[in-house]
Amino acid sequence: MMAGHTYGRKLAAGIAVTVVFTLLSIAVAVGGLKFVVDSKDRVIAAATTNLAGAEALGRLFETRLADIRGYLLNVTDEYSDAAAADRVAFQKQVTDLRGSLEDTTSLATLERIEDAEQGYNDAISKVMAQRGAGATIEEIRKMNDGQAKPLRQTMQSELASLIARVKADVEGNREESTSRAALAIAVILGLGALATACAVAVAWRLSRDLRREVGAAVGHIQSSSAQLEAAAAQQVNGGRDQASAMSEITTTISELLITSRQIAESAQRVSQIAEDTEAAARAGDSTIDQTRASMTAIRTQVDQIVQHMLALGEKSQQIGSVVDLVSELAEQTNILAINATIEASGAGEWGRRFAVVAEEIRKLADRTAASAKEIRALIEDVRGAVNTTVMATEIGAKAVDSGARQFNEATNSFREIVKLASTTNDATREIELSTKQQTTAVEQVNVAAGDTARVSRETESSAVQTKQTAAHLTALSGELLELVGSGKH
Amino acid sequence: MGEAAVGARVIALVFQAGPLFCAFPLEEVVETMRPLQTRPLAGTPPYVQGLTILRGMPSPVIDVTRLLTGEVGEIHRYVAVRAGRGVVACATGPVLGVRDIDVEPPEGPSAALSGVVSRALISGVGRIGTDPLLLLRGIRTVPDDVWEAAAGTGAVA
Repeated sequence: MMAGHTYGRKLAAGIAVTVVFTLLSIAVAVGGLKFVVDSKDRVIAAATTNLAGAEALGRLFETRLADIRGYLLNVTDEYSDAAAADRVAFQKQVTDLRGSLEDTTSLATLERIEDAEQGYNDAISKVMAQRGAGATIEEIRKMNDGQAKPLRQTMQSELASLIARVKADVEGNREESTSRAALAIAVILGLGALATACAVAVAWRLSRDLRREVGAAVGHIQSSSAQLEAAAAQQVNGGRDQASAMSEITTTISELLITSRQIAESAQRVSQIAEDTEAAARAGDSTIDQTRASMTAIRTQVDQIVQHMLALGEKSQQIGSVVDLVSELAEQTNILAINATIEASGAGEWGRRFAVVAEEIRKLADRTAASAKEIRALIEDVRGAVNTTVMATEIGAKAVDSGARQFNEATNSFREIVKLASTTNDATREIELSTKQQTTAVEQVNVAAGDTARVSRETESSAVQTKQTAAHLTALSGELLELVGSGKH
Repeated sequence: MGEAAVGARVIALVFQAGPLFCAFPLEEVVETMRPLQTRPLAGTPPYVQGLTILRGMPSPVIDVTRLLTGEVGEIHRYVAVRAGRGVVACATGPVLGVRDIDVEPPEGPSAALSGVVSRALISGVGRIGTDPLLLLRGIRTVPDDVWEAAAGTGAVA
């Protein structure tokens, strides 16, 4: 019926049944005890109130008789008043008994006692009046024996009958209560036996299931504990290795942190240098523009120089042409002068004079030719210098052009450098920022590595504790198997 | 062309022929001129450059430098001289002018010049400044066949 249920549910169900039976037993026991207590209360009440009241009636009546006898002997008001007070107390007791008695026979007897007391009071009052009037003791004794005594005996007899009746009633109640108590005890014993049987059955079932299921579970726990112990041992070794590795990592990260800080400082210096470089490059950019304008002016001046030199060359060539003409004329003059000298030499004295003039003309022509030759040489020198200058200027112009191109290339390169310097500056700033972030990250990693190392040590200690706990659990499992009766040795 | 008298003073046209200073007696000189167009002639001696036209007449051209030194010199002037049957153009270096020069015959100290060439060409030896000066005779060394060739060419012309 309980197959398929867990052991805990079975245990709960068994305990619940046992508790139900126990509660039922307790309820029945409480009910029985209450029943017995009520019975006993009634018995005790009957014994204390009714029986004591009945006996109190007799005692009060005897007290009144003693006070009446005192009066009859001494004739004092003290006794008469006491007798009157006794009667009042007697009547109050009768009233109380009437309220407490339940038995009709006893109530009837109480009625008769009240009637007899009334009769006796009437008779004794007369006797006491005679004694107060002066009657002697003898006369009083006769009157008492004749009138009051039978009534007193009747009353005493009724009182004895009431006491006996109340006693019998108390005894009956006691026996009834005893029989009820016995019944309650029997019922409680029955329920107790039933609860015990149920508990035994539950315990047997639970014990059987405990051996069967809990034993298997404990066996599993034992094997699992062994595995856990082995795993904990491995975890101890791993945690120890991890702790040492994390210690090395922490040391390395500390060195890395120092390196990162140094890199950050270097990056900051590089950033400053890059900013200076960028500023210098921007200043150099304006210088480049000025230099380009200067080079353009130089190129223009060089072109003008070339033009002037070419013009000078042309003029020199024209001068050369003139000089050639002069030279030609001088040569012709020389030839003509020589020929004139030759012709004049055959013309007598006048010819000799003409020859002198012709010789002078020849000398002038020679000087002219020599000067023309010198001028020609000078012009050639000038032309050579002009050509050299033009060539040099052309070379210079080409050099200026080449320089301008190279300068443009240099300018482009410089502007590229400026751009790269700016990019480098940005990159350096990013590097600086990244390095700072890296430093912060490395610091966080360092803290985390420290925490991890600490956690590793704690894990190692926890693993040691786990190992000890697993070993203890294995031992406890063995003990538990012994306890549940499934131990294997 | 007459022989130079001993210690005579001669008026001559002085010119250069390569490294030599030479002179023609002025009475043998016709004129000086620039070098003219010259046509070479085959079968003539090396010092004969060819024929040129002087005053409308074909005349042989003699390279004086080559004639005297055997070397080839730069030609600056043609000097037309009378040579017996015609005029000969002597190709010379620069013409220095008409000078009065003192010459001696090539005897005595100038006996070294008494070779075949000197006897035909040099009539006297003088100096100009510190340089020696050769007074040349009229061009008589021109072979007859040259003159004949020149005459033949002129006849053809």
